[in-house]
Amino acid sequence: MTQHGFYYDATRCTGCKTCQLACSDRYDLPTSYFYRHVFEYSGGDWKTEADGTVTTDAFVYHTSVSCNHCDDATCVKVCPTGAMHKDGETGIVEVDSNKCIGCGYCVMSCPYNAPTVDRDKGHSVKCDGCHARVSEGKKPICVEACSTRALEFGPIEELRKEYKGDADVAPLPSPEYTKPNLVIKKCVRSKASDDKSGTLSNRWEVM
Amino acid sequence: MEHAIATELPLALFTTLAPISAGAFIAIAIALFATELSEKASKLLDKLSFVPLVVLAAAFIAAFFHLSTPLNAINVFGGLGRSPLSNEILAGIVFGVILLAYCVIALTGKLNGAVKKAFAAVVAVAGLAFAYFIGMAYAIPTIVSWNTPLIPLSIIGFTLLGGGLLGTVMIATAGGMAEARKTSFKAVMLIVAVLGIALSIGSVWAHYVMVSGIETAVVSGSALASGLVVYLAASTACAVLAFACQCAALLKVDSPAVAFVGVVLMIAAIVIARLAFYAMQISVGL
Ligand code: SF4
Ligand code: SF4
Repeated sequence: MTQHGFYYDATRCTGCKTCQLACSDRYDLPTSYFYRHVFEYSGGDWKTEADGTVTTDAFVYHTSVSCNHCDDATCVKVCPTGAMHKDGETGIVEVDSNKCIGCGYCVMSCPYNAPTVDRDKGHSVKCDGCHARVSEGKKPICVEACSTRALEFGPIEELRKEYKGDADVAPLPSPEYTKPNLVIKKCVRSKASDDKSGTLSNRWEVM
Repeated sequence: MEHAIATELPLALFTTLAPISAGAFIAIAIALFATELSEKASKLLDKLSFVPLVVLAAAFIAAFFHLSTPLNAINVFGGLGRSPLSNEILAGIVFGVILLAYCVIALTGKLNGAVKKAFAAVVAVAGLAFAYFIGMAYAIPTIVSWNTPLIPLSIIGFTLLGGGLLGTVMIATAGGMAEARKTSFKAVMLIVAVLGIALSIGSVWAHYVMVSGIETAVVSGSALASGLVVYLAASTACAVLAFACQCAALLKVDSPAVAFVGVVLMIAAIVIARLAFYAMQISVGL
């Protein structure tokens, strides 16, 4: 198996959410959920010094994340039916809609907010790494849509070799939990996942 | 809480009715071990064995409403051992099958003496095991607010008190309460009720304190929990009243009505506590 995964460059991303919308458009998703989310993490403050000058440590940065097709995927572990499974060739985590009962256990357990149970479709849905496009030799639609070239997709070992980096970035959970196949190039303001100084500022948009 | 009511009501009902069904045979087994019931009471009690089965069926029907495609439910054993949900459902089905076997054999009139006592004890143990697995279904490492032994402990508390009350209703309806009260049944069931109320209320509030201390980038546990205090207080009030009903039934009242009121109060107590529990879901991430 050649495990596939995503690369995300926080130094390029402007938080425009084109990736998110291109994905929704490609898969004709309803407005109630996304496969890809752009999380906005912000914090810090202004401080007035004794001499009247003002300094700030205010920060904001974005992280574009879909399913990370994790090595230790909690969604796969907890799924009672085996519907949530890893593809033997690509390591992509996919839903077998013929098996899924729509119990939502994968949704609850995923700390990246990746799957959703679509009650109209009757099963769990999420990013499948644009399996069909990739098998035609194309890139996932989010990767192609990004105007700043902040996303990349491919065999994760190659991405790790080329870009270095890990997924230890707030507000994402510590990568220890599910071992995501996600390489992030951090920006100057990026904080580690255990950071407590900021909040998810676009919560209502992405949760 | 509104979101939990809108989305998790079927699961709240399942995790309310299932423990009540699972605990009824704790009372029945204790009664059979402690008391020589009259033949009439014993026969009637055998017929009433179907009551927890009906409650269990209602619990599973409620759970089905939670699923998007219940028709695929045959696949739920695919995750046995790996998925806590598969384990929970298997434990429920094992309990249901043992309970059904008890009911059917008891109805033929062939279940007597030591065999009957042992069988009732097996049903009670299977019920407790089911209660444990219901609680363990929420022990997921990525959900920081649920991954605690307080959850199975609370479900076991609901099972002891709620199930004990249902068993008391059955024994009283069968006309066996006056006899049972003269034996060690009374003292042992009082201990079960005290344990039940202590675990129900204790774990629910300990969980509240735990959640209040969790802060993530997405959720402030203290803000979340403080919004739920009034619901937890209402649940506690119902549980305390249910406990009082059980004490009255065990100490004094022969009619099943008071224990029945206790069951209704306990259903209210558990449903509210369970909805608050679902509202207190906090991920380690997003
Ligand atoms: S990101 Fe979530 S849904 Fe995707 S593989 Fe990891 S745990 Fe599963
Ligand atoms: S919703 Fe479907 S894929 Fe998710 S855990 Fe339940 S059965 Fe598995």
